[in-house]
Amino acid sequence: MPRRIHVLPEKLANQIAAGEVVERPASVVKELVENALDAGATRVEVVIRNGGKTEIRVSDDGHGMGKDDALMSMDRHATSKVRSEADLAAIRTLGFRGEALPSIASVSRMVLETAERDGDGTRVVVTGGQMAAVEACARRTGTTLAVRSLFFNVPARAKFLRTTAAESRAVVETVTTLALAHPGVGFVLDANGREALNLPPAAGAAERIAAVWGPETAGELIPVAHREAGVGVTGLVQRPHSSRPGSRRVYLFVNGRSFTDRSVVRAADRAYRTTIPEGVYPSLFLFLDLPDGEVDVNVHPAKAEVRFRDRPAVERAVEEGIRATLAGLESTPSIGTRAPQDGVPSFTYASPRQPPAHVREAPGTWGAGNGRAYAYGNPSTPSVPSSPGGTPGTTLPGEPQMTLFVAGAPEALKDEADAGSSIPPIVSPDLLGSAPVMWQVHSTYILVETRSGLLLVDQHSAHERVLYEELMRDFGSGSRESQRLLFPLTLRLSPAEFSVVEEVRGVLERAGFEVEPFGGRAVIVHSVPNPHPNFDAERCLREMIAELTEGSSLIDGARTQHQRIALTFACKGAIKAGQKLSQREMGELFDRLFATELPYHDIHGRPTVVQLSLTELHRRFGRSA
Amino acid sequence: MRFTITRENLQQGLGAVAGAIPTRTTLPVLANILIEAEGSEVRMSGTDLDTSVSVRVPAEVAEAGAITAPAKKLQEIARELPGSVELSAQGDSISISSGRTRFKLNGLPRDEFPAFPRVDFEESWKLTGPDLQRLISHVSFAASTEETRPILNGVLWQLSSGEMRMVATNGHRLAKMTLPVESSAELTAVDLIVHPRALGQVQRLLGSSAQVEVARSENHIGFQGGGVQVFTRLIEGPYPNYEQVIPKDNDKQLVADKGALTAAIRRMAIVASDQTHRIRIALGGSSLKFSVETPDLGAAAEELPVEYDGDPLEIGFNAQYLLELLRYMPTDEVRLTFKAPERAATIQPVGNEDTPDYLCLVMPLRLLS
Ligand SMILES: Nc1ncnc2c1ncn2[C@@H]1O[C@H](COP(=O)(O)OP(=O)(O)OP(=O)(O)O)[C@@H](O)[C@H]1O
Ligand SMILES: [Mg+2]
Repeated sequence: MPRRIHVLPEKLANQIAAGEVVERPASVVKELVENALDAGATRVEVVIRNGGKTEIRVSDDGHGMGKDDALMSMDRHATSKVRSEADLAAIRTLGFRGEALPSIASVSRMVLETAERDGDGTRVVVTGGQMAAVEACARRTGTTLAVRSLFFNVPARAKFLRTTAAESRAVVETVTTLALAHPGVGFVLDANGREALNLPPAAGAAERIAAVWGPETAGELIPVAHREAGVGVTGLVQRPHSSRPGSRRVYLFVNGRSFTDRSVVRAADRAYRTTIPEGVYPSLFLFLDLPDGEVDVNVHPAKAEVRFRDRPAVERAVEEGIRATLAGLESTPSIGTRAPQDGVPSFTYASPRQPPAHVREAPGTWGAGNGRAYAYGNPSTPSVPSSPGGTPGTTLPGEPQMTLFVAGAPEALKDEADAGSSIPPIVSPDLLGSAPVMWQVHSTYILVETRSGLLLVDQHSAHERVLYEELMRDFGSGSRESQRLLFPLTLRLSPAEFSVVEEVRGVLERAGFEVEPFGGRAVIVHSVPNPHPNFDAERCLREMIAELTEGSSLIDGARTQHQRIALTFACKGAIKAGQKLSQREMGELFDRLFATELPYHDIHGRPTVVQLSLTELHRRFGRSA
Repeated sequence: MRFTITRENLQQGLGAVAGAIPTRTTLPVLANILIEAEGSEVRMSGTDLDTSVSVRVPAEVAEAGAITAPAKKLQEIARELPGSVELSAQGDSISISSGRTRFKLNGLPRDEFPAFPRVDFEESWKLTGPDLQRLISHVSFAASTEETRPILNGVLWQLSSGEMRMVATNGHRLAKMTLPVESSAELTAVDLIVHPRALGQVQRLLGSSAQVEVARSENHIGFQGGGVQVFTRLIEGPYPNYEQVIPKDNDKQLVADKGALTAAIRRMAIVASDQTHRIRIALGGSSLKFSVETPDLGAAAEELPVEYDGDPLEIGFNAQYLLELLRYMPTDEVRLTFKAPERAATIQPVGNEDTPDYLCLVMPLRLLS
């Protein structure tokens, strides 16, 4: 009997492997740029023609290869990156299979030019997997790989290539992704003679994002830095109120490697719950840092996915990390532009246990320039114009009042400025000085002085957040205080409303509303919660029942009945705009707001707080340097 | 208009009216006092459109007439003047002179000042100031200050031939007091709902008058006595049926020392929640046990020996309500009655002749789970 099984000739084996690794020009670009990064390049230049269908050229200034290595690199399973199984578990390079170059070479005309430091250059030409030439050449340290006529010998695959524009887009996306993971490396992408990307080496992800999408996009982002159970999460996420439907960007990286993962994204979205409207998803740029062995990168032919040993721990760290960020003042909008600064956080930890320092500095980092010296007017310059010729003793209407003392540099401001970037984090207890004076404007907003400027609080939004979290907490602890009424309320309901009330009566009661059927479709309410002195229990309950019956974008996103009730109660029961508040009431609202988990966001995806930094004030008054 | 008046009379008149002048108003004339000189008196009036006050003080009127003057400035001037005052008006300009001091103020013509409600005192109840004062001071505090149920913002005042009663509540606690009155005329019983602010003026200006005449028109009520008149707009009824909610079968009763009770509750209140102020009271044995437990804050407990032999009961209250009601109790001992954790409790004074029929009640705070 003839043997049925035989070993494939190498060329065919490479072509089959190429089927998995090389799908389109963008996959070639990915493999080549990854090789360049593995070679320690500080600058990578990518040129594509015709979306890469005609030519792809990737040049780097990495360590290059000697002649022997250059030849070896074209062999299957030839790699300098892994020697043992243990190496694979601890892999920190992007490549590890030794498959990319032979696979690409088997379906294209490839020219490799490379030189080591102080070494001669080598040119290797491979056509359709066949070594065509090996020769010396002159070049400086680094490697250039040119891939022409992709799939020239596999017409079936060539047919699947899309338009030049589509393939170019995919290449831009690929280079962008790699560039985000390696902000310290400069990237240039030339597509058909047009510069599609030009990214100089950046200090961190934020700066790189600004270089790719512009400072506005970067300004909408807030830094995440969190470590939990060995999982480090850093990066940037979008401020809830900046997020708009359909404009989301998601980039996930683990140990410097990009990956896609729906449930990690879902974990991030969970963190945003109640801070963002339904159907709006924030942009995410997350960098996970896991110990060796915790992540298996060898599960997907194009390395697009990874496997986590402890997936729940990863998802928890992502959710918690983002939540912690959203709990911070940086997640609120501010008056004035936020431009990314020099010294953008680099997203590395000094030590895993240490709280990430740049989170603390974030307000300054993202504000309008912290740590700068302010130039005040010359102290000897009178700040008030003197009125020449004014008759002593008579002050005409409109005449400025003479001051006894000429103002110099305001001491308080100088202190603030000197403190510079050492201004401690803005968190609730230190947020306000002792006995802060709060000022209610238009019976709607509360204005309060903080250590670094001003905060404007929307009283209704703030109270919504407070009521929501307090009720959720009371649901958890199992009890809630409720005021018995001298004159019970009777509500006549529509049939639909009545059946909703019957359904949620138990939860309503745990929310503090003792409701009983009262014959027909009426209910009687014996006791009500009392969240503030002007609480209109009847109106609140009526509106809650209507919302629960008709549904709304607010409550439709809720996962549990308890959440539904808590959301609608918070929305309907909170202090309204237009309600006058006393100093004490404002103070209490503040304390309760900052006792919540997400004090800076109401439950509709709006901010509760807008900040106006002293720096911004200085800027507007022309005081800043 | 021109008249001379002693500084004291001017100050007294202005002081009486000042309370009726709104601190902020969109209608400028309301910040003014109406001054009318005629015969041997000057009448000063102020209004916030809901409540109006006018006072008559003696003066030497040289030329009758009327003007309105900015209340605050006039009061400040009166306070600083050295002696008796001559006040005259020429057009809208007011001249004030005293000793060697002269002031000029801009007034507004009298016809810009809103007309006072017309109330006919021909048919009036004749009451004493102290009786009114007693009712108002014990009841009107309990009216609601929320805007959610306007009717509860008023004090119910029930007048009949033999007695009068005031009731006020915010729906969580209630105060009620009844006093006997000797009425001369045969008048039909009425229920009036009056804003506590107006009652405050009545108490202040007429509380010591030997006789206060009270009369009403369709929408207003007027009080007069000793040269003072107070008018106010009535709040439209009907008032909720309070009789029905006053417990009649509270079978758990005890008498306690008001001071000791107040002190104990004040201590508990320190660690009560800022929002609900909830404290717990347990009856049983011969003590009243107070306790409070607030998550994230702390706990406290205290026992007060009392005479009690009824069934045990545990009930929660807003400590602020209890303290407030105790503050208004006119006697050293108070009687508390209870029925069940979800039913109203009552507090009454013990052993007073002065205010025999005074009752406060408070609804409990429940802990739902
Ligand atoms: N730009 C480059 N500079 C220096 N050495 C390179 C470069 N590109 C490839 N090499 C060398 O060639 C080898 C083969 O590259 P190839 O991409 O085929 O495999 P790999 O990167 O090791 O693994 P993988 O198949 O996972 O990408 C690499 O291990 C590396 O030593
Ligand atoms: Mg590789």
